[in-house]
Amino acid sequence: MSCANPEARHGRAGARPSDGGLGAISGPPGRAMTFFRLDPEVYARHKDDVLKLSNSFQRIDQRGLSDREIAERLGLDERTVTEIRVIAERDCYPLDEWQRAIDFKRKACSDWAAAALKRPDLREP
Amino acid sequence: MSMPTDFPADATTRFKALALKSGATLVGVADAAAFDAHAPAKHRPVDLLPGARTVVVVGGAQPRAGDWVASSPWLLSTMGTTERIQGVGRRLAQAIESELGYYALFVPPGTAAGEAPFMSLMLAAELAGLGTRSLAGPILNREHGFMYWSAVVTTAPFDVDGPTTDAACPAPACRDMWEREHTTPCLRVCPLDAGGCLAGRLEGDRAVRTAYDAGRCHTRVHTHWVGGFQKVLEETLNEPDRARRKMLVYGDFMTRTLWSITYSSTNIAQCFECMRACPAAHGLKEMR
Amino acid sequence: MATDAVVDAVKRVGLDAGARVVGVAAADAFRAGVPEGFRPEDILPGARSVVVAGGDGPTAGAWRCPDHRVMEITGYDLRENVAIHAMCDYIERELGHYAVQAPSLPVHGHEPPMSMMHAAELAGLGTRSFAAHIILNPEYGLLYYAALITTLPLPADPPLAEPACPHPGCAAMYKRIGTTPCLRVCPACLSGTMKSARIETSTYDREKCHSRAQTYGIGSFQKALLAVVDEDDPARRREMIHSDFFAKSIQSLGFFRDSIAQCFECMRVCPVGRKHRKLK
Repeated sequence: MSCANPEARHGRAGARPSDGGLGAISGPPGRAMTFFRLDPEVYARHKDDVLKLSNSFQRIDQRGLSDREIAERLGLDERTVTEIRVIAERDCYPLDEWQRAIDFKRKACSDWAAAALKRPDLREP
Repeated sequence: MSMPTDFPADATTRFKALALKSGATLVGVADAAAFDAHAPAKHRPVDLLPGARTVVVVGGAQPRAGDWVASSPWLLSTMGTTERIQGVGRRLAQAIESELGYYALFVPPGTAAGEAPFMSLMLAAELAGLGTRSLAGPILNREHGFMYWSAVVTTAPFDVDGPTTDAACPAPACRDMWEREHTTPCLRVCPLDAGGCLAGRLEGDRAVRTAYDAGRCHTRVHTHWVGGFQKVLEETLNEPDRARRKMLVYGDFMTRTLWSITYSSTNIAQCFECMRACPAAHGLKEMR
Repeated sequence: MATDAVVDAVKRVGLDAGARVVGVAAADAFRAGVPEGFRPEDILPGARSVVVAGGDGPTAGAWRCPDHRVMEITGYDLRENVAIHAMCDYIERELGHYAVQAPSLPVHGHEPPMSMMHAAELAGLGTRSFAAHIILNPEYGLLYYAALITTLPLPADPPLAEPACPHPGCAAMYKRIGTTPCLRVCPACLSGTMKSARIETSTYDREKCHSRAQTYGIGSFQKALLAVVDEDDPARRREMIHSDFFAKSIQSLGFFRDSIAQCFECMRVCPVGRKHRKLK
């Protein structure tokens, strides 16, 4: 890059095609794409395996696999694994778990306040 | 409207310095009346603030050099910096009122209805002499390239800067490319006739945009935003199968869209490809 | 390689902007533990260093509130992000090297493009704990992390030699009764064992934790929305739409800054850094 021509630019602008971009000087998209929808049967078949291999249930000494790694392991394409994982993360527990969360926090916080602040009146009955 | 006679002679200089000290890269002043020739009724400075005389425009908060060369498309679309210039505009509006005693209105960056802004910040930047329109659309400054804008409409009679004639677009590299290939980087990365948003040509030193598909551009700049949420919600409500409905509501598109809506301040712009490819958009400072 | 004076200057910019701690990791240090696609070099070509800033969370007063809902919506000032922007600006403007804020928001489900926790570990700012594997700074305990990636080669800080967790008090408790404060308060999400006063095993159910740490937010909105669209009875549907749960979920979407984290129970009982929460 020449300092004498400050408007000349390097050729690095633009996301690389390998990263999903089209590069600095690029052509039109290769093909038209429709909205991605996951088949519920594919989801049901693979969701447990995908979640088990991902970062959903963590062990401190072992990292979860990326979607690409899971795809290679299960013989699926990466986009499908991503969709399965995202849905399964949300689907993992029913809405009832959210109510349990609300109850847990209310009790744990008031129990702590009662003990740590020496205020037994704050403990939830 | 009569001009005040007691307006401090150094007010324009002082407030421009305040803008730069507050974090703006550029500051300029447009004549409020200059909008009449370009802006539709109800979207001019006097429609927002009756009696408006000038519009103070600040530019800045632009993506850094590193942001433009980043190879992850998620960087610019989730770590946006537009909000940083809004605070400068708000501060100026407060200062104009408290220190000069004139009305000042910070132009909200949102929309009045649908996709229509209260007032075009891009037009304000042009009329304040801070940049010129590019073939791709955004206002580009010769030195700093692409940046974000904020504007304050005021009754204060600041000294006005006129529009600049020193256009950043087309850049020399684009003129060379047009000669060779009859296209430019922005037209090539997003061509209207191949599913993109832009069509245009260069006529000597002038860039002429012949077509711009705003609707398609919206699906790219605001992929995961209100419109996307409405679309997938509609699909969900129209889907008779429960299992397929779950796939839509819990799916990647809906999840990402909700994140964008929630973290709107940094997710407000989600496509930069015309600007990423633009030789004039990144400013002139070299990085290593 | 930049001099110590340069790295000190960069860190000073971050600390002056409000970071509690600042550390540096080498970009290539991420290769060992991070899959392809999520490393600094995958985000910024030519990346040499990652500078990490840690910022404070809720105030000491907020920790003492007996109403957990206060901490659910108290929010933070996110100074670690301000510090990162200040350092990015400094590195580009004064030192002429590329610098970007590392993208840390989830983009596909719970997955961000880069792990701030791992960045904090590699930059010597903390170590993983029993409590949701949260990175604990030995001095301050729970901090929130943001990072920048730069082509500027900076001397790296080494990862901590001594883990912050377990705290000696927790090691003593484990020896006595086979558990620690965090494991005892939240067995739903956490489990673990200790050996010779070190973490031997530790598991963390992130999806269950999500229902607690983000009770009202994107996830709860999706759960409730699906229940609403699946409900055939208009009266029940109306009840669900106007319920406190759905209203709070929508509120969290709108006021995101106030609802970033919503469960602190494992950290409330954690002794690491607690001395900084004892005020008058």
